[in-house]
Amino acid sequence: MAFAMDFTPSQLMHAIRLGLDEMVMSSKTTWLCATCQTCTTRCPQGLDIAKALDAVKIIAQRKGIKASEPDVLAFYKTMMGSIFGFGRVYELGLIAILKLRTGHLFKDVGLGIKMFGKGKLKLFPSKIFPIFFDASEIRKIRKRVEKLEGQRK
Amino acid sequence: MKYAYYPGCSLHSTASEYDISFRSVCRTLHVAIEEIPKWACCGSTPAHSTSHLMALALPGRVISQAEEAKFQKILVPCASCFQRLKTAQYEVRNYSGLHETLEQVLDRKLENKAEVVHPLELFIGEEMSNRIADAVRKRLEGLKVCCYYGCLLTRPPKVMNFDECEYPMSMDTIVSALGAETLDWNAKTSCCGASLSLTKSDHVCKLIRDIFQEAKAVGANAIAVACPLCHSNLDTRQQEAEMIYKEKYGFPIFYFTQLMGLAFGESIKALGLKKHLVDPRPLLSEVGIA
Repeated sequence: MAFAMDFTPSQLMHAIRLGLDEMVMSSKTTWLCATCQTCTTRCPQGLDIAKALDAVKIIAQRKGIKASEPDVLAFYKTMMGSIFGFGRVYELGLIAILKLRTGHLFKDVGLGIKMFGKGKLKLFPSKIFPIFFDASEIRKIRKRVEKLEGQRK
Repeated sequence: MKYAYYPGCSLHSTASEYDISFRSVCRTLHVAIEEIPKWACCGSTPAHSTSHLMALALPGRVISQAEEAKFQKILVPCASCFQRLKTAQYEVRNYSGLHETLEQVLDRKLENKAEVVHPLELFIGEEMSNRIADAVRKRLEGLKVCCYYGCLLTRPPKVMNFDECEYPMSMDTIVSALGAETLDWNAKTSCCGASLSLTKSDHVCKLIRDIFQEAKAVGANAIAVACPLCHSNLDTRQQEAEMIYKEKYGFPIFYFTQLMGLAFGESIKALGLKKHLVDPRPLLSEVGIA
């Protein structure tokens, strides 16, 4: 994905080291990283670059800094919403909410219909009842995680 | 021994053909599997991009559930789930205090001892290799396959500790044992863009175009994968990439378990081969397999 980034992952590591927070937080690199782990695997200094990019994303969200690629963040939030709501990813609901959040209402509609026709998208969240049971446990986990992370701030 | 089976969200929806072909192959090879009851999502990329602790808690819960049900090994076909489960295990083992924190957050006991196994890892073992050789009814001659591993099966190597991280061979070994020709090529562990497909599909089309060009260069007529997102990007976005770049690829994308099932004599329908957007049936009938 490096071809689409404004800074290469290694440039961003240098920027973090130099304390150029504004440049780091506003770069597209963090949000365009698909976590392929190639940089982490090959770094001659043994840096876990992909994990550092995750950390930048998380810190930016805590500080309320606007994501330079808002659609990507919207996707992450929507999918987490699906997990907290159903315990699992409910694709059709996820796509619908993502469209409302990003405003790209007609993106991939044709593709979606084709996938639906092939039985790849379910109309309802799968096996609804056990999932509602599951999700209550997941929501409790979420509360405890948020409490702990709130203390660490 | 019975394996715990963690399908993850994709194998219940967009990758249902991976699920049914995997189950079919397990039946043929006498591998006993049982789905982990009441499993939830592993969190995948959205979790590790938004909360470090949540990204460990979700897969930690899956491991804890499997252990609670007395399983020693967990089979995880989805590359992303596989990587998230292994990452949680790795971090719990290597960072002091994390084990206690996770048990507190999960309100569950986590022994962290259950072994997380990818089906490729299982099928490449000596005993399974013999069973596969015995189970082949129809050799897949005529298929020239590029095995595409993607990112997460082998990376980062210190966590995954599976196959060779730059040039893996496990899938090639299995697919060539089925009688298909497997090809050496450059894009085995390239990135397909993964979940950016939903928001940055133009970038994903560029990445998959690079992969198709490499496969074309070595004369492949099919690509095999072991990851639902790799499949989704290579299959469902293929036509779009053809339109953008005004090129023709026409690569059927198979889950490696579908190729195994075909060689074991299973039907097109039983392996979910009708579910792909790039229809593999013309190629299969051309080479006389189905």
